[in-house]
Amino acid sequence: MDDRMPTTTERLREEVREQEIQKQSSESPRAEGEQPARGRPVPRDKVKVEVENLDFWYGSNHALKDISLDISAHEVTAFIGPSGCGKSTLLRCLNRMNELIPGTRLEGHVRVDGRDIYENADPVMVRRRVGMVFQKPNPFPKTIYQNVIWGAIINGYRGNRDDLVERCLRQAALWDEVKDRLHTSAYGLSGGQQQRLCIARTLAVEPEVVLMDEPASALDPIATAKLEETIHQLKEEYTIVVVTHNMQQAARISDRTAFFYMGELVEIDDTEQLFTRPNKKRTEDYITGRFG
Amino acid sequence: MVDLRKNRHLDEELAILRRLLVEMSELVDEQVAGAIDAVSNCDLDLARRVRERDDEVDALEIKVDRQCERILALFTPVAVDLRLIIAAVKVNTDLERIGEHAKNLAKKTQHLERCTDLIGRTKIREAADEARKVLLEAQDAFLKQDKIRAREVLVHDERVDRLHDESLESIANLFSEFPDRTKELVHLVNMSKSVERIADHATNIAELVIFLVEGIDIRHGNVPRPAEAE
Repeated sequence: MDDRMPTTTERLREEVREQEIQKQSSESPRAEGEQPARGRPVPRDKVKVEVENLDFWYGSNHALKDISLDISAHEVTAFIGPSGCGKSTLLRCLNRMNELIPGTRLEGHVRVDGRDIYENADPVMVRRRVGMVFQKPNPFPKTIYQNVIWGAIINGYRGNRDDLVERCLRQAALWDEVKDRLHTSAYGLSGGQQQRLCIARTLAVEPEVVLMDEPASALDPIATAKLEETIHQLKEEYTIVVVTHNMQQAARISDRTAFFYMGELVEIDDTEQLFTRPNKKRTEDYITGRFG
Repeated sequence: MVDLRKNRHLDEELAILRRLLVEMSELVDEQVAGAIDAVSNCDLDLARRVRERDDEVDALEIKVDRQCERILALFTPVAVDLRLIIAAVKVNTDLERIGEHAKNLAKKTQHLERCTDLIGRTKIREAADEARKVLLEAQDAFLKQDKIRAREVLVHDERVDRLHDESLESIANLFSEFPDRTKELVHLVNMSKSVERIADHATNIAELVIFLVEGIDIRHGNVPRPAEAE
């Protein structure tokens, strides 16, 4: 038996080895009862959307498992994770869009400003307060002007329509590009412009929260940059939640990031913290591209 | 209209980094100046203040590194922006090392009272003045990304090296002349070395300017570069 004292190097190696074993054994798979890593909590007075013990099924497929998280007001929160992890499903839970899919079931709570959006709430009103922009731009087959004003008219808008259209197009960083052709077809716009038109359309009904499901995935780099700048400006007035496959995009545009895997929340934290010192090895493996 | 000529948020973060580096440069320069003055005038009070301020240098070093880490993680910069971050991390280390040498110089001041006659027989004071000039030149070159100024630093550093060699030669002679003052002479060797190291670190900073501006790595001139195909 070697009776000598271990050297400093040997001791350090042993410590690192023990830490690696501990991290791995706690990570794969997520142990029963293990909690997601939560960094700095959102102060209670800043919580805009609260998800509490949410489970969701597509038929018998348990797509979301016991999700609890807070979305902070006037911030951009990014949902990231591999395909099929449930991030888009969760996004659609935040404005009851999943109800449009037959055979789905939800348990748990989603609250906006403290009020449950599934209990005694009109889903149409919910979707007005919590608007959505989809992956593929989907303008109406109408003029640019009509695209923006349509939702507002349906919701009983009585104010100055021209002012509303201009304000929303400015907020969506599209006004300068379309102000001279408002009454031409929206289909004449580029993909990036159509996507910003969809944002303007969403803003016209004066939502409080804007959900974006991979809003830039169909756009070229320049259009993506414009869209990201728009998102950055919008958060001054709205609360934004973005689902994205593009981790660099999540790092650039979001204030907080939530990482999901196989229907579970693994980690949520300030974006800077998550992308520099994630708490969970699975998070680190994902953001470094070691699995996806 | 969204202005895409500048990546506004990356540029804001880079501006913060630049401000931190300016602050670090100014602080380190004050430390070096203070240490040299303390040595020249045998000013123990000034020497103490230089030693105490070294904590500020260390704290700034951490801030600069953290900002670089933040930019790398959140913005994945490329090309000149990436070279800037790489250069900033290395310059930060060089500046901290310079601060450390300034602190060491200041520490030696307490031994100087007994050997002001001896230091006058070396070129340590001249070398210290030259080292400070080299440092200021290098800092200026980095902050202005001035590659011409940076190349001048590489030439001026040779003066400091010469003065350092002359000091060592003088001290070697002093060992025979004053065999009972070995301790003081050893302190002088260390002081000369600290001054020479300050200039060396300033040279590192100048080399990084060339890397930043031209994308060329001029360190270790005789070492063959990795082949492109590797």
